[in-house]
Amino acid sequence: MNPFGLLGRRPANLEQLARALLPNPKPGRFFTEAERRTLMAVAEVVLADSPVKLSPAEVADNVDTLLREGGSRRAWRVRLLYVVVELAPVFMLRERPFSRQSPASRRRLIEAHFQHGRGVWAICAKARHLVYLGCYADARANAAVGFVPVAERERYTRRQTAT
Amino acid sequence: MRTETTDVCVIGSGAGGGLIAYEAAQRGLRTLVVERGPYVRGAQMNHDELSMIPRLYKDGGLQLNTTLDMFILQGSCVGGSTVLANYAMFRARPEVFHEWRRLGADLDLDALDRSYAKVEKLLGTRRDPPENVSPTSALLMKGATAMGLDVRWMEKALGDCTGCGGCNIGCVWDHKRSSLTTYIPWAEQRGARILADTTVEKIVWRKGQVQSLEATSGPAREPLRIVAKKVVVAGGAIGSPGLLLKSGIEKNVGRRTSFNIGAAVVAEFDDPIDAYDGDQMSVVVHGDGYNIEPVHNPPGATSLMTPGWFGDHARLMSRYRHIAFVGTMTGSQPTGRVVHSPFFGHEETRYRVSKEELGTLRRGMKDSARAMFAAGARRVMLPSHRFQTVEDAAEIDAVMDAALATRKQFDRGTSHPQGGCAWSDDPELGAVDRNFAVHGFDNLFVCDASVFPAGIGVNPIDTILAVADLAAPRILA
Repeated sequence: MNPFGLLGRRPANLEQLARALLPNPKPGRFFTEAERRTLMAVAEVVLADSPVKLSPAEVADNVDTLLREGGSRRAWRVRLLYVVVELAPVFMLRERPFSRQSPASRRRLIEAHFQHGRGVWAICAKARHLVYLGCYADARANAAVGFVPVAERERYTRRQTAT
Repeated sequence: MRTETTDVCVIGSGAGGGLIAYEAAQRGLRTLVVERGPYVRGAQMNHDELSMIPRLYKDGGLQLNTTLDMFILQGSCVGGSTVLANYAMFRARPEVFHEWRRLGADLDLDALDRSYAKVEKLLGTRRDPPENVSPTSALLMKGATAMGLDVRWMEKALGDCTGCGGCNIGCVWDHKRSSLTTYIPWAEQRGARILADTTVEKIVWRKGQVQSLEATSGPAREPLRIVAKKVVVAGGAIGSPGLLLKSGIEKNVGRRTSFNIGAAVVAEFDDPIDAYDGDQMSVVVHGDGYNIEPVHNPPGATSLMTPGWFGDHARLMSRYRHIAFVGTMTGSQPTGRVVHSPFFGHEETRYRVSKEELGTLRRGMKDSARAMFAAGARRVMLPSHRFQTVEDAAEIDAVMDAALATRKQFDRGTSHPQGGCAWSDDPELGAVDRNFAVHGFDNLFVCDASVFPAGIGVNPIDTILAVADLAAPRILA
């Protein structure tokens, strides 16, 4: 958190305020350790049945890189999203924070609230999209799902030979 | 602070901006193109979604409407959205322009036809060669034909396409006839300069005259001042109204925004079809108020479109070789709005899909499901939040009417926002006049999809280019 930044200069908008209030990630990282823990906790259960065998940490690394390099003006909202996912069980259900729950509890929570919920829960449900992208956009997923990269396809080699 | 002085400054390098830059440079005008995104040439691209999405997409692909139920995908790189487009070249139906005329945009349709023909010829528009037709396109052609639907081969501007199926993450071979490979380099060859990684923060104006542009450049966001005799805003249907609003130019700006809204069903086949191998879309089904197009993607983007959680999602991803995505697209009414949000410090898009639009989308998805069953699909999955499978064509109506009844039951997406700086000769109705000048301004113009007074309901690149071709002599006179 950087509350002192607020004292020196009044934030002009919500983004600057959020940036000032959200804790600073380590250099070279998009997420803080706490946000990353939540993301990994989501990945661990959402991808439990996936044919792709990437660890939650590897998925989190991919998502971190994606958001860091994207330079999106909206990316801070993703950090906020994982904070909401972490704390929603505390404030909405008087349960432990998301990442502190067992995988089985997290799955039950997702099934009971994220999947078909409204309001905050519907927002929490969006946490899965980046997890999917972090998993299936990784080149290591190709073989598991049966995707053949362009350079290995017959059409490409045929064309290379022709030219 | 560094100052750049030029005759014409074009803000944005997509379909509209690229063409205007080329036309300006060809006329011997000193031309400066300012692009917020990076300059990524084909040789610097790859097929890795994780590296291309953040480099090429606006906001890293995270742009949503304010109700968070519609993704708005746009490019943010030199070439803009043309770099990511499938380059399906559709002319808008004449009824669209009759509606435009009713709204005060009196277009000479013969001149527009000539412009369509000119850009189509210049970009080498043609049908995909048979070897590039993807399995999804072939199946849709087969199924839609069996259903008696109006299915046709698309005209595309993909040059000497390899058929890799990766159009939405650029073109590593520079085959696609995007602005990145056509108008922008043509403009550069005629002396235009491209300032990539540069954002125009504000238009400084007084008494209907743009005095300068305040910009920031590079990763350090160094301040830059641009002084131009003419300024052409071509930042797309979200970015252009966003910049004008941020600069205090508000009359009719950000209004009448429309979209081609889309959602896709997934068809599963018994045998592997390898839908990823070939151009993403080669055919289109024209329905009553909607179009059906194949939309198959590499695994990362596919995982985002695949419905279900846990085992349902995982099972479909493990059947990647057996599934085909077919999208339905319908043009919305111009009820959307782009606003400059002081809370967020940038533009936001407000749009809520109407019941009528949902109904049209549902009808299209029913037809796409029927076509896939007719092509031999074992089952069809819906894009609903609650995982829903249709096992038999006879169930389509009942299942879809229940599972896709309200806007909260499924998310939608668009790559085709339009309007926001609508052209109308009536200053009470539109933001720009017949010369594409912002009403009340002498040297400030808009030329992109934001000038469309109403949505056109088909992939808009051809029409953006044709309208820009018509606009060029008026803007640069």
